[in-house]
Amino acid sequence: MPKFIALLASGTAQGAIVALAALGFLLIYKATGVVNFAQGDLITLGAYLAVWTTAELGLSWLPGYALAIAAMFVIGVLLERVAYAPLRGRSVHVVVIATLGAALVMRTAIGIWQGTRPKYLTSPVASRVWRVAGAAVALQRVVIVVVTLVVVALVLWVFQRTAVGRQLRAVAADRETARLYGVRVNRLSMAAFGTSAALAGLAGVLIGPLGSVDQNLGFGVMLGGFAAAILGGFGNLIGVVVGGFLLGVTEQVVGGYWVRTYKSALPFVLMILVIAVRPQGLLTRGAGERL
Amino acid sequence: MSAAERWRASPYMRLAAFMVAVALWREVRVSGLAGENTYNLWLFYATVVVGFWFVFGLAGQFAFSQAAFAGLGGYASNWASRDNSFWVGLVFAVVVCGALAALFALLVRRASHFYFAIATLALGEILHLLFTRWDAFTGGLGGEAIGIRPISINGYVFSTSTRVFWFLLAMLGLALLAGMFLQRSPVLRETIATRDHESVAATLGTPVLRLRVSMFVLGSVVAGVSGAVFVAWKGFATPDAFGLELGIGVFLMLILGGVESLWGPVLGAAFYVYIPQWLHRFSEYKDVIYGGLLVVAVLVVPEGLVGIGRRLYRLRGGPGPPGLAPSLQTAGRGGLRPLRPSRSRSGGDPGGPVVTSEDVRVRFGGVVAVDGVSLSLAREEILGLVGPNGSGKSTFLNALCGVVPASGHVTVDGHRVPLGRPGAIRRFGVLRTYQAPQTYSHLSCLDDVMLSTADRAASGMFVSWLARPVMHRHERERRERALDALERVGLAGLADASVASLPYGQRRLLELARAIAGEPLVLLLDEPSAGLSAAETDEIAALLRSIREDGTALLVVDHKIDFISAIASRVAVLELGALVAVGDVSTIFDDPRVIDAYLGIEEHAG
Repeated sequence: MPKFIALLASGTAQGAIVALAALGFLLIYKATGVVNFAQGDLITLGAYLAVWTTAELGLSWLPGYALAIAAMFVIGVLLERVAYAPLRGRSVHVVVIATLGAALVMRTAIGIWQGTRPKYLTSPVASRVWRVAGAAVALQRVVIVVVTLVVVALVLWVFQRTAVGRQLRAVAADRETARLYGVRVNRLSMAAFGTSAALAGLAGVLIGPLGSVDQNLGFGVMLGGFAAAILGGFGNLIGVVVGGFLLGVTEQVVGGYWVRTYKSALPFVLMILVIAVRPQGLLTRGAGERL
Repeated sequence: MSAAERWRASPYMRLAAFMVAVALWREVRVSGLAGENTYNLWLFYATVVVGFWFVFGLAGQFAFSQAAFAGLGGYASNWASRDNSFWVGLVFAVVVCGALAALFALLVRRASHFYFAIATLALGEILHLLFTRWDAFTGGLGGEAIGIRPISINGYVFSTSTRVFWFLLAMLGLALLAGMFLQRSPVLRETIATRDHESVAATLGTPVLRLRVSMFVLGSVVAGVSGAVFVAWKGFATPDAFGLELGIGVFLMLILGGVESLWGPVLGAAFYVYIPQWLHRFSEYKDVIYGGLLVVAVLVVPEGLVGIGRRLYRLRGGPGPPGLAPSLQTAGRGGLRPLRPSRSRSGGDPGGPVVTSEDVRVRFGGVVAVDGVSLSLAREEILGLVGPNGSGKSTFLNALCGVVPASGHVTVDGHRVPLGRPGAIRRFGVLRTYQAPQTYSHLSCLDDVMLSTADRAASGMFVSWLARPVMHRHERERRERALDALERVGLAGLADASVASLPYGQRRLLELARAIAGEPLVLLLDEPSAGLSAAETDEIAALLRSIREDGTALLVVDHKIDFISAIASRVAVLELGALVAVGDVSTIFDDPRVIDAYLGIEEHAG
């Protein structure tokens, strides 16, 4: 039982992070119709920025984290200007290649700036544990789940209840018509990239303290986010969050008992099976046409 | 052009010249072990990227799995050659990579664009995990396999970089040759058609799924073979050699080199291998430069280095590029032949209707777009289908062609046609045209028309490699039929012109020529007169009548009453998805219900 609790806790935390990552690139997907393949490196960059503000600038965690996340927003807007805006209207392939290029630049720039040796990010709850039913759960994981739930609720609220959210939904449904109705598509896509990068920064700040921070930190998280998005049905925000938790718990709990050697492959196998059997996602209704 | 000139201009000659030049350059300019290794590395990368060209450049599939398949080939070959020769390992690598690629492509067959990209990324991760964890397969702790058996032929061991060079060169040459054969075969136009507009390609009879899967398999197998040769050359393998860096590198090489040409991978790989050598002072910034180049390249020169070369060549007065779709020569041929409508099949009643639809229904969510339409079309009849906007005319055609999910019962010539499968009805001799002409701007007019051919013999990948004379014989016949069709619509002079250069009206004619060339038993036309002038409309009307005289039944959707009256013998009227009247042209257009539903506007319009 303690083992199960521990696995469940790490699965939930992992699911939370994955959901957060997925939320980030889904925002961009909604606003622009493009999947940003640089999302993983944005997460890595967020973690490194937090390392820099706390360890090198000597800020305490709260202003340090806040500065890192704010910087990420700016970087997101820059990314939109440099790698996306000039390509609007070009084929999907071209835009994806540009985001790949941006990812490569970011990844290498991080290496030049911070070196390739792993770094460590401090956290106010580092090394503290929460004892529950005989299991010790790192408090950082609890924080991750709580923060994620709050952020998800916030994003959903903005999306469903505010003018910005309505515009975003309009653009997602039909970009041209939305523009004709006066939605400032340009500004919206900048805001989406900025917010998305800030969410990536938040994800980086949250997972950084769990282990070490290195150049590959975000890549796996991004892949998990993709898997969650496919499980939940691309574009379905609630579905994606549920998908994220489902994947995290499946990987940790199933992987904790049975296929331990290959447990990190579980989300990907699950995702390929979902594409094969139910490409519209587990939680989205609709016909099974090509996507 | 004389035979000698044609030979000199031929791509095979260029390939031979390239191979000789690469070998000579090595003799003269490449020295030292490091130099030889870099040269070999270029050939290895070039081959992997030629494989990727099949998947991405030709078939337009966004795959991130190329590097992982190279790794799989390497490890599989190592596993199987431990107690055998290198060749057993190579064959095993081909089988494993081919089987996995086929299985994967079939599993994710409904995924395109982002979904496909993400799925291949996941596949790459799964494979990478296997390489690092499955020691029994990789033959080394954490995938660090050493002592891999070198290549040998009849006891001659390719033990040094110098020797392996010849093997790598042959491998690249073969991959390029395979690509050239494909570029000069029906596979090229069908793959482009599938890539550019899959559902249209399917309704023309193109085996879209088979093409997509086989291109992915081909590219993955080329990667696997390269990987097998690579590890046999190096003598060791590590998972990271086939990791993310190569994965992104493959993209870089193809995009920078040029997606549109088979030479793009070769140039791109040279760039990828040699530029860092020249700029070694900046080696730290290598990937920043590459990443930036990728963004700049897609912005400014999406055609890559090959494209830049061609632009320079044209500036200096050279002829334009052959483009992705080399058109076939319009050779001399006999006079016009009458159409041969598709072979009549057993089971059909010669006096009865050729097409019947019973209770065909299409729903989009809560909207019933086509509400139980039952129609029949007699042999050699032109039936007009009219109705106000949104009455479900086009949707009905789409339902017959399987492009939208529908229920009901459709037979052609007595055979039941499965609904909801694009292309199913094509097999029974039914072709269609679209409201907005769906032609392929990356093809020549002749190639576009040849897409609809009913004779699909000898049009596959293997035939294009192994039985070219047979393929050429069938292609000649198909070409003649296509040229006849072009001549009938008056576009014979434009056979070699690019479809992109045609104005709207001619694209409509081209689409019609394509339909004619398919020798249809039944032709479904969606507003064939839309956007045409009065003179062009008369031309189309005459053409449709002559098609009917050749024995084809026509179902014509249109708005223009006089156009329908001029060609059709019977008319069916749709309103809100349901059939309100069917009958002779004269009775129908006098029917008060029809005037109410559809022609009522005449009172106001005068």
